[in-house]
Amino acid sequence: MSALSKIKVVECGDFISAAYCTKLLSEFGAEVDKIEPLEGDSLRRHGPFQGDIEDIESSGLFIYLNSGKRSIAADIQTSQGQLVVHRLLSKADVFVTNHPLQLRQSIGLDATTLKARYPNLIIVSLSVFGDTGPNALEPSQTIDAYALSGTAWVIGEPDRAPLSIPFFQADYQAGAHAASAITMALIGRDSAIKSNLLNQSLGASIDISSADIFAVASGTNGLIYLCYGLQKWVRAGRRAFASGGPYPYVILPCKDGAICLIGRARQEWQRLIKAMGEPAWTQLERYQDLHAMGKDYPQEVDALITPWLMQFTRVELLGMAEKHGFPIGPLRQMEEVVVSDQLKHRQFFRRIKLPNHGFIQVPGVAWKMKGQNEVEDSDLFPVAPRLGEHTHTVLI
Amino acid sequence: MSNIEPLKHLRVLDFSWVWSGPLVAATLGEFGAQVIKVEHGKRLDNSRLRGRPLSKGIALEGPSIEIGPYFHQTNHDKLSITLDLKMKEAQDLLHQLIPSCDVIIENLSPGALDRVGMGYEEVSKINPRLIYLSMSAVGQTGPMNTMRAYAPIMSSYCGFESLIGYPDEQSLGMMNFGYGDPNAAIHALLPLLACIKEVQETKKGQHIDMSQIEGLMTVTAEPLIDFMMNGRQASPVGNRHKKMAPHGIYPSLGVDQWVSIAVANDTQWLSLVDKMGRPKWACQSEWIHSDARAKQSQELDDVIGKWTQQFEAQVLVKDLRGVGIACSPVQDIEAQWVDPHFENRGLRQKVNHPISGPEFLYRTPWKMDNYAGHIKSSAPILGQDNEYVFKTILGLTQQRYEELISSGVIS
Repeated sequence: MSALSKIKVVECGDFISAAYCTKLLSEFGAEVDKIEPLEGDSLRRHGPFQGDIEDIESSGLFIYLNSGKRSIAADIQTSQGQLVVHRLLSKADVFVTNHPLQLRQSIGLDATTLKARYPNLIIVSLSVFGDTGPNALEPSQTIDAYALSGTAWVIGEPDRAPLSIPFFQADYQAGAHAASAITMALIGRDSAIKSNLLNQSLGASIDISSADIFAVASGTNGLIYLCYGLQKWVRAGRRAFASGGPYPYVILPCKDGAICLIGRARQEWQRLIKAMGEPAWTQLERYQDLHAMGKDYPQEVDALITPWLMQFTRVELLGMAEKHGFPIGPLRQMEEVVVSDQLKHRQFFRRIKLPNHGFIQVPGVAWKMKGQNEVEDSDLFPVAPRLGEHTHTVLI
Repeated sequence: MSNIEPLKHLRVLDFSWVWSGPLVAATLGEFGAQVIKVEHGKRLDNSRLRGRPLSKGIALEGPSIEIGPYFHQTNHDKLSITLDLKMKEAQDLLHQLIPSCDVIIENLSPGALDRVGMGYEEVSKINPRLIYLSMSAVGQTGPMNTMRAYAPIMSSYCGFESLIGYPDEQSLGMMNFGYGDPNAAIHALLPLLACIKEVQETKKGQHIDMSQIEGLMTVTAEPLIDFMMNGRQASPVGNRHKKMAPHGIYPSLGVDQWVSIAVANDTQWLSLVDKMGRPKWACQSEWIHSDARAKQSQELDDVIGKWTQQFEAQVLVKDLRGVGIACSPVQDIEAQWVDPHFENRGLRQKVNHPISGPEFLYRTPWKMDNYAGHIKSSAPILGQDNEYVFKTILGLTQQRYEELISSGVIS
């Protein structure tokens, strides 16, 4: 896929969000120059490492997020480093950064300053709180996005601490949103060029906040709680509070673990009843009103279903779900997922060369293009750059 | 430069329902596309069936399929037409519309649209420039391709839910805000926009086969890669961080009140110790280094929690931020709706719904200039644009239009 093959991107940041953004752009052919501090991106020391042996050229997550990019090592707080940044920016279409606003302002890499110098540049910042608003200059970490947005509030046991979601989800979301916003701006730029608006600046500034993103995600779902008389949305352990409306919306045990059972429509409940062999209790009036079941006595219904679930394994239950057409999800461990036939069939995992020898396996992308420009992709992807491997190309 | 809406000349047919697909289509509408939601007069998008909303405890008036805020949020900036796609004439009508369309979006079971003459093979023959986005639970192909799923079912299936829970305990789950849906939407929007950009040059359409569980797996790369490399099985980590300690959610004064605290380095740790009044336990030399603190997270969390619960959340937030430590109140959704930070950023935009009246909808959370979108209308009334689409765009006569209604083609 070459939609962005002429697009030059400069990434200047650290850790996940900016790297995930430009990784996604590079999937469509964008060329990415990554500016790293002299000691290297902190992801290089984050791992995971083979055998837990730390090596800045072999961090699994760094390789996954930076395969195919160029690495330029520079201390952006020095004038020499800034010369490097500006050399790259003078030829770039897009600048992506997740450095804190204070730092960007102090070295002239904030949107206002850059805009004046590069009117055609698309300038993108990624952060937890964003570049405006009362929290813009406050210290932040990924966890603040879940706290402020209402996301953590609804996950966990009712009488215990709220839970955030693990493995830096807010950083990935910021990256994916930034990549989409950039592509949107590039479409806009194409149409500005087509409409002969060339005498005007063609750039844009884009401010992405992960707290905003999670506020929208949680807040959208929160709107459901305005309905059904569910006025307050609180955490309820293995269930969506009050089933989020109709029964069921719950994780329940089965013979070899647990399954997630969700039905939103009456037909789905009827199909489940059929799969259970239509036991007598299901005919009682008490178990016809899905909303009352979901809100007022969900545990009672859990207790009626669980003995049936306990007779079957997750695989058997998934088979019945397929046959009868009700939604069920086996709660699986990563090791089971990795070897699943579905992912093998889709050839989801890809291999990336390690700098010295061998390769590692990492997730691919979530889409396949099946249309008219289908290209055969090799499953072996380019190495991630060594720290500063391409610095000399900028200094010449 | 005055603002250009990037997708102004695009026409989109939206066959999707629930959250993920409708969200992608609503975003295109926000950025200027004309989005036509293809509905059925009786078999409704279940987002229309979420019940009668309450305002301050009182049920709102009006037809409940029209006034649900959840439906408005995921279907703004769309037209609505109603067709019975099982009828050949309805399929013919859409086929007449296809040449002027740029994008089709669907998140139904694989094959469902093929059965009503709207599969990619068929419509791409009518319009080879068409970009067709399919976003099913596990993708169009593979042994599980017809799997039915809501978001937490997908996150269970792909191993993500097993990572949600308190440290050193068995998996709890569940991400009941439906993480899989907005995550799928953004991982489908990106390839869609790339194709929209590319088609301007190549004039060749594309079938994007997006898998929602694969979308979740691209963002859970870390435990997947660790398993691939070291065979290590990830387990719940709660609010802990690999390198930062303390890092978590701690009680503050009051019932069910909490703050998040993340101490990023040893300097911040010393600032926290100062704030706590340099208690003996905190001054122990073994806790000077973050690695050592991270190894004793449980003990650390217990004592930090005992200190934090003496203070109101706002006090902790102000004090700790004041010395450079990340600290936020853990807000519920109602608090988020009126939070001055989000309000200042204009995260929600006021629009007018023809029946519900003025309401606030979240805009796409990108603060951008020059190529920005904005929400122009709330969700459509069921079938409100039948006349416009069938008479104005397709040029049907009034007589033919009425015939199609009475025969149930326009449902």
